[in-house]
Amino acid sequence: MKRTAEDVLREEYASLLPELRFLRHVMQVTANHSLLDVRETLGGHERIDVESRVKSCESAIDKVRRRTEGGTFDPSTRYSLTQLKDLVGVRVLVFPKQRAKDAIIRLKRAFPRWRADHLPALGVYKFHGKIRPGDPVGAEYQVVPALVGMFWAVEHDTFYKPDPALRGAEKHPRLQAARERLEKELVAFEDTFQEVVEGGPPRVL
Amino acid sequence: MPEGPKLALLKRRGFIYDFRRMIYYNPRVRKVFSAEAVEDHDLRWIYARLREPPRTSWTFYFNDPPSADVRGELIRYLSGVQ
Repeated sequence: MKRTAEDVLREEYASLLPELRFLRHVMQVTANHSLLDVRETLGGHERIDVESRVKSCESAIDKVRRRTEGGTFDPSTRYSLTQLKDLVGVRVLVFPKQRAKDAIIRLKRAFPRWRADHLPALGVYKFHGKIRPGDPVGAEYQVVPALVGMFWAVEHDTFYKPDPALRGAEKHPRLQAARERLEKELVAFEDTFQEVVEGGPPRVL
Repeated sequence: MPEGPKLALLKRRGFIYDFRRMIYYNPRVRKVFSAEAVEDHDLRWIYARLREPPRTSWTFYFNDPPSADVRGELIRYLSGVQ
């Protein structure tokens, strides 16, 4: 029986998995270590949380498939998971978002010369690179406002975990438009929170 | 990809978006647009493609014409979702 592109990519994933787990561990430890001093200065309501993950096999295959026009593998083309920049990833959730700057300065030192790929409207800062020059796969770290990051986590669980058939539904134009509206509101909430906190109690004239 | 005039036009002409394959298709006229092609071309280009008379087999409007294997796979897929 002829092997499909999915079969080949699943085999590749299995061979990469030990390395992916190792890289995840290195990234998690490095990020936590680099953020130690900032965390010591956090106020009671502030937070900087580090999460890490290895992209699941089916998500990785789906991402490669979605890069093809028509979302369909061509049997005559050779595909590889190593083209993905985020097989391993760290997400740093910050609240309030003004804390992102402190985190980015330290993470840039820990992961020097990684390529920036930001979403400035959401206050999301992404960086891609390789932990060691010879690594077969790339990795990504993100610094994300906590509210946006938590929404993404819920959204991911909603679309991916219960039913793989829903994978990609979040890219539906109507859902994407609704998502953009919600993300803007989450950012606006953080801005308002910051104004209220920094503004302090109203002055008595 | 927010909803805009291009998507509204396709919707009016009976096209359905398939989020798994990222295509707009209309079984009645047997036409398929890739999301990339819709995004990369203007309204005039879409109008022109819509005006083309339907053929007996499916017509694919992609940036890069799909191979025979990909066309076959998509046609099998589309006959399954209808």
